[in-house]
Amino acid sequence: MTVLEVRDLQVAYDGLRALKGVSLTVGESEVVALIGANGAGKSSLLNAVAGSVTPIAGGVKHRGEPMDRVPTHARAGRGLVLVPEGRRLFGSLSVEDNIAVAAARARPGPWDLKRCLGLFPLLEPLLTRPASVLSGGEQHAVALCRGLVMNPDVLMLDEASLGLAPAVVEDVYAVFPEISGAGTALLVVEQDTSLAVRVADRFYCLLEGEISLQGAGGAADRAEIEKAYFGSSRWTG
Amino acid sequence: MDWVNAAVQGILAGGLFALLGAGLSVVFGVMRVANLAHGDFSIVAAFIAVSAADGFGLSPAVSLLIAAPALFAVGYGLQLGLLNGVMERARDAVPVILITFGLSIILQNGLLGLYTADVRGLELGAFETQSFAVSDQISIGWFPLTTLAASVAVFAGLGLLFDRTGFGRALRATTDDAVAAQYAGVNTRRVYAAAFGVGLAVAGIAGIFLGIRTSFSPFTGPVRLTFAFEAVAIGGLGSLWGTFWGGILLGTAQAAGAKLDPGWGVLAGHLLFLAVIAVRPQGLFSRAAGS
Repeated sequence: MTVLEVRDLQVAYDGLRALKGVSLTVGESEVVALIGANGAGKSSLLNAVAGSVTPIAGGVKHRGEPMDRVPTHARAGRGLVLVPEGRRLFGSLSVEDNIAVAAARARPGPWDLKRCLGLFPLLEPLLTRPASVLSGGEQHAVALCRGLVMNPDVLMLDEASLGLAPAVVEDVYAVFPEISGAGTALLVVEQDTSLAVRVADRFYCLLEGEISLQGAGGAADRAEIEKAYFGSSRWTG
Repeated sequence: MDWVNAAVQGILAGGLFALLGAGLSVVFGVMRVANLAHGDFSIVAAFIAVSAADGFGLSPAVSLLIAAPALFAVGYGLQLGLLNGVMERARDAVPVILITFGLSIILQNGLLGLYTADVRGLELGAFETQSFAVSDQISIGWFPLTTLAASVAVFAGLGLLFDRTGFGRALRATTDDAVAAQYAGVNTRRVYAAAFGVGLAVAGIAGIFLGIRTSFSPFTGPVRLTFAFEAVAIGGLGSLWGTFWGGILLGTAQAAGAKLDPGWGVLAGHLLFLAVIAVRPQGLFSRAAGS
């Protein structure tokens, strides 16, 4: 079943179009990667789905329901949850309070603090620490927990591995199967193309605000992806 | 001993300055907006108490229970219906500050129309002037002591509200990063509305105490705003308990100035404010001292 449908989405900043009519779908429990170079429109797409950017055309549907007039906080409450680029934790709040803010507005579901700590045991001794003093990897884990405790239908991760040590990136991606297995779909923006495509069920490649390639994940053709990523050809299959 | 007495009286007076600054500090801390109508809203509360006394014979203490919720409702409605929209459309805080300046003028003229320019006061009977002696040269007034206690109670209550409740968590999250708070499901428009409501409710409480302690007119608000702003700035913008100590220091400076020369009291407070801002622009206690 499709939980997220994006149709002909167009986003512009001061007249410059960042998205030029993008359409995509995300199914239940699916892991979908969104790849593309800097400025391709990946973050604009996630922000428009989350509601923090207003599109100039097109629309977003959650389980068939238009989200056009639904504000950001209510989209999160209904299950479209964004873990933004840079994690954007509440620096003056403790780790536990960062998660509690979201948990207080969560839908019923399998994820709570205890289960999140099972996913990221490194956070257990850090619960009372201010989020601002954590390492990048720890902050990333908190941001994921903050999103997960809302029991999202779709958890959107913007730049899932940016700024993280390779070992931490492996840890982050290692939890994806458990998250999707619990019924949460993942829409992952990633610049590490090979990693994202390897773990995803499907992927979309964005180039200059348009989808230049889409297909199944796993063993996707690397040469084709490179062409779509850098713009030397356009292909949809 | 005279100086000790001056310090004691200054601390007691500072309790009122702190109370006046509390609501301003809340609004500034959450929204980074200076509410220039803050003093006028406190005077509105004092006039609500005047009407309650004239119309129904209610004591100012009872009027407090009417004025504070009424001002909360006004603040909540103002933020939700007017200021949120301006904050979202504006690129900086200037338009919102200008609107509060406009509100200040509207409130002054509204009060002038309703109550005339006559100077008023709130009556609390003998309690206003009763005192007890601590020594031969130091006596403490029951009402100033009550004001200080009320001030401590308000700051402690606000601290508990911000630190120990779900609303407080949402408010601190919104203060840190309003967009990220929305990603976490927080309705930041309502958080801002509640914060502005709390700010005005506390301004209302301060206004009633002010009206008992000293006379007031529809044009008293901006003068009181000055003291409130100085308490906030001395303590540190965005620091709740910093505002409390800022108020105490302001009161003490005024009392010390008045001890040197009766005409220097207010000036000494302004000089302290100037010195703090010049040497430590972030205030003495900054954010680290409070919520």
